[in-house]
Amino acid sequence: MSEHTSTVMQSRPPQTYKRLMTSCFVFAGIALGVGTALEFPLVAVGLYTLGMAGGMIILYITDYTLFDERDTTIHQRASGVTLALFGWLSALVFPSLVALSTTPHFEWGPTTTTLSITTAVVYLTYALLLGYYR
Amino acid sequence: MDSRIREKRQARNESQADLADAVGVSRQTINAIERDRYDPSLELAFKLADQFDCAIEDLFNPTEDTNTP
Repeated sequence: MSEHTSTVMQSRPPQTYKRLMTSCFVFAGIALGVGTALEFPLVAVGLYTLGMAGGMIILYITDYTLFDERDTTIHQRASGVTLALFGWLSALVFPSLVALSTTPHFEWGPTTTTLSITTAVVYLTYALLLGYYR
Repeated sequence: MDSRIREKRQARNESQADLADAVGVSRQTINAIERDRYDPSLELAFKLADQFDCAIEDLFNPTEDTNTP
């Protein structure tokens, strides 16, 4: 990066970097989803990699503080609420499905089985980490 | 937590961005602290007190209703 480019970049406010970085990550996710849906898997992965790399580069080239303790606190709160929400939903939905599977109205298929196993793995990991950090 | 950061900062003619740079957080975090919408960590509270050359209790006053963040 030239001295001029560096000076121009540092003259922009930190929010510009944060928005640029977020845009790169959002672009990466959308490219992967849309590319996969349109059956261009390699293009999708290529654009995804570009977007993710762009976001990471922006994160590392700037001298500004883009994320601080408040971002961490917000992230922890959002993660906690998400885990609690899905935890309570799972505690209602999965036993109901088990009960329903004894009737002719419901049968375990590949999707519901995968969802159940994934949920169990997520909460088992959570329980292990709770124990570890205690 | 009631904060006197804004008052102290304005007395020194300093912008939120200047203070944020000095203590290593974003301007939005300083703004949130000044609006009593975020309670800083002990580490950040010490840095702020150090910046204003005062004690932590001169900057923050605990209240019943705390907002974090």
